[in-house]
Amino acid sequence: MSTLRVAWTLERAALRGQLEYRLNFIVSTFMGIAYQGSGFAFIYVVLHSFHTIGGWDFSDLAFLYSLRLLAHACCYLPFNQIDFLDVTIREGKFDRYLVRPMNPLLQLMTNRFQINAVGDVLTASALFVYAASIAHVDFSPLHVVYLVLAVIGGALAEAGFILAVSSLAFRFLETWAAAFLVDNIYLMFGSYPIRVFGATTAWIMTWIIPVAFVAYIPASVLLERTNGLHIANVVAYGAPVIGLLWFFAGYQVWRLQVRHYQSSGS
Amino acid sequence: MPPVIRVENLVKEFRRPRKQEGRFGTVRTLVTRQFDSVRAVDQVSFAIEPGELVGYIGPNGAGKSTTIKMMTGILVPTSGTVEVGGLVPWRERERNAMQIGVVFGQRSQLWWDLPLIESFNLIAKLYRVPDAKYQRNLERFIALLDMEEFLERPVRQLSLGQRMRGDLAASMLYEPQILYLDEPTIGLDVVAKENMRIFIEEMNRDSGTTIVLTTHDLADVERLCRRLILIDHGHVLYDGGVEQLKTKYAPHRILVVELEPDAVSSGRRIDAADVPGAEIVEQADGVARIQFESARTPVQDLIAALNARYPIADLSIVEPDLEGVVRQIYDERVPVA
Amino acid sequence: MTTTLGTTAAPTGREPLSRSPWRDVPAYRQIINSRLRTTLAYRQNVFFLLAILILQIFILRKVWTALYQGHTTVDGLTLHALLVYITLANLQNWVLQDPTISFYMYNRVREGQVAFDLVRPVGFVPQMFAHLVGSSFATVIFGLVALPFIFFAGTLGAPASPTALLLYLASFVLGYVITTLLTLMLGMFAFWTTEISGLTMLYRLINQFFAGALVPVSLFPGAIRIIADVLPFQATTYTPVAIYVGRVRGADALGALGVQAVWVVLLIFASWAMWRRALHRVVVQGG
Repeated sequence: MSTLRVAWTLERAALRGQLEYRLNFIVSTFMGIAYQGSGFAFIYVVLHSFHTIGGWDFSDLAFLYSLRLLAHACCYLPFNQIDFLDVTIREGKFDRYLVRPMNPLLQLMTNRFQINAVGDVLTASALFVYAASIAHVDFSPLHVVYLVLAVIGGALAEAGFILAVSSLAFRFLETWAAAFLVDNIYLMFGSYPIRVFGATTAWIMTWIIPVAFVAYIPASVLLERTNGLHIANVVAYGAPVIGLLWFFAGYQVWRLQVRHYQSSGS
Repeated sequence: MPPVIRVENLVKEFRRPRKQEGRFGTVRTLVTRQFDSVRAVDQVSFAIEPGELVGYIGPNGAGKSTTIKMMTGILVPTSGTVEVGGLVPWRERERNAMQIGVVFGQRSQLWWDLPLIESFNLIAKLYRVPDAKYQRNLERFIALLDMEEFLERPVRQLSLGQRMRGDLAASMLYEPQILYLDEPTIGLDVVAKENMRIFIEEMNRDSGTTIVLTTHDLADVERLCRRLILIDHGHVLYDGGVEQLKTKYAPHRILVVELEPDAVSSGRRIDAADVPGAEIVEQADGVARIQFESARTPVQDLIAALNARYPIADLSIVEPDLEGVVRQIYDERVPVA
Repeated sequence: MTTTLGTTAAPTGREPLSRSPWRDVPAYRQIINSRLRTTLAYRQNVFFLLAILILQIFILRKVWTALYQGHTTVDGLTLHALLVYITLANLQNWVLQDPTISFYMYNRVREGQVAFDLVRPVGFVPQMFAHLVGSSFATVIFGLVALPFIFFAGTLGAPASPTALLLYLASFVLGYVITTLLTLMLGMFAFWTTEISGLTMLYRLINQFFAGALVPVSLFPGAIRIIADVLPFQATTYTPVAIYVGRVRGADALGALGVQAVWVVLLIFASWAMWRRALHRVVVQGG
């Protein structure tokens, strides 16, 4: 539909705007690689001495970690501007979005093109290919379809929650810290088998902040470790759908919050 | 014909959490949740007919921007109605957006890193302007606003005047019914201001665009608007013609009389008895400022009376200026009947 | 985050050439004070960073507990000792760091105000030092407030022995000096590049890992261990905390302290050299 075509045009314009800042791109790419690799370094080092975490061996964990990275990168690529909502509001740019004939969320998303997001996707993909090669996963057609859907669903689960949290910016002014905290929660908790954290935390990370749906649950399904899961199997298979629901819910919260927008300035 | 903009009993209240002072202020703020309520717009009502050019003025913090933001759909009213072109702006934002143009004097709508012409192209795409119409309007505005020389330059490299011209053109490319101008001449030099005013006037006259102009520069208003809405502390203080405002609120004009140098050196002064129906406000060094009410005292009688008795070197009449009138109204803050 | 602090104290001496740093103590005190106040003003941010710290300690505790399943002692450490190590290492690592200093330096350089700083009677480097100290004070205060949460999230425990405690304190001081020097050097990069925020993040990541806040350095395998031994980060956190839990003791502990001292000397030279280059660059560039 024409809205998407217009959004695509805006995105291309944002990309053209960014190509000016090439050095920034190089540094950001290295930053991205370092950031993504660091969690991996931890797993590599500890599993050298110990051999499993909660029964998951190195190849399992590598698979989990790279799946999370991939889902996160797929979320980051379109939605990276969401975290900057409070800045956009403070600069008065959001007023402009509300006055244009296009969904303000889409406008926010296409406002700036984050080049390192592309780098993140490439790095995550490379890492995933490696992890997939050593993982105990049967890549049947059914599993591959599930994998693709799970990555999308995982990205949506993360995006939905971040949408809801960042929409706090419509009511309060300084929300970057909350968004930063949520990003870190997804990063820290999402890289391990959530079971390791105990029943309560596992429940919170599944139903309150959908961290588990980003990678842990789909990975469990693909690694055929569903017996250790803290949720019913049927829910696990439906993880992509739950991700979609989370996104839908987050978007509704966002839309509701826009009504409370106070704008800024005189 | 129904009014194109209709505002009825419009109210906007802002609730801000009251920050707690003292120890553990942050925690207390989070926990106790006390709010300060501010009524930025309090029972504002007016209607604007299609094709009008209305000035909407008030001091800072008066509620002008808040009203405009509700009319453009940026803010949701606390209560009351606002209807623009038959739509409720905040309910149907995207449809409303197609019929309005907005220029924020201090924040550009153009794409910062791209050449100006690309911003225009993007806007044409965004508003789904048919190619022929776009080309026609583009040519017209480039000529009108003299933008040929900087069309290819990135917006961030443009001067304020150039950028404002670009913003103005961008807002009219898709021929909106209604144009909101928020401080469009701020920071511009005299020449640029005049060019801006000419453009605005032309858009209103030739295209019949309804224009709502918010500005601190009352010269803009005097030049462009026939109707004026004055707001302060969230209330409408005046809604009517500019001329009527001046006559009603400042019915006085001032006659400045300068006596011949000989008379001055011999200490001659104008006597109050010689100017019945008028008041000598100030008299020094042979120059007298005489205040009178045009309605009651015809100026020609006054001049004739003075001329008969005094050797006059020079005469001039000072009209009340809008700024003085408005300032008076702000100071007194009494709604003008 | 940028902060504009008040000016330093009025010029004390009229001979700026030969001055004793002790003369400037009032100025330093003022800087430390204003740093404290600034951090308090931005306490919302600090609380969020604290939250992340607490979560990280929690996660590490859970993960390490899972790792120790079926083992009682690994590398000479019981699970309890290791958990104490992890908790203390993260806490210490957090207290020692302050990314805002680098931003502050960066902004001063970018905005050209560093020219004033260089001309002020109180030397630039000692000024920055005072900033870091003030920032540490503030961080410690917040750390104390967070202590109950850390107690809940992690494991706090007593030192391995009274000797261990004493050696720990000495080692901590050395580690603090090393961290400060490293932070100073990081801030000096502001004279060369605009990408300071990227560098700061990178530094935090590398530092955290090689300082042993996630895994004790003694557990690093092969090549990674070698890299860790060559870098100074180990000396900021791993060395002191390892002494505290008794992983390193006796002669080894004294040896480790010696290594720290060597790093201090090396870094003093390195930062002095870097400072000279930075000054040169400022003079050449015109500030």
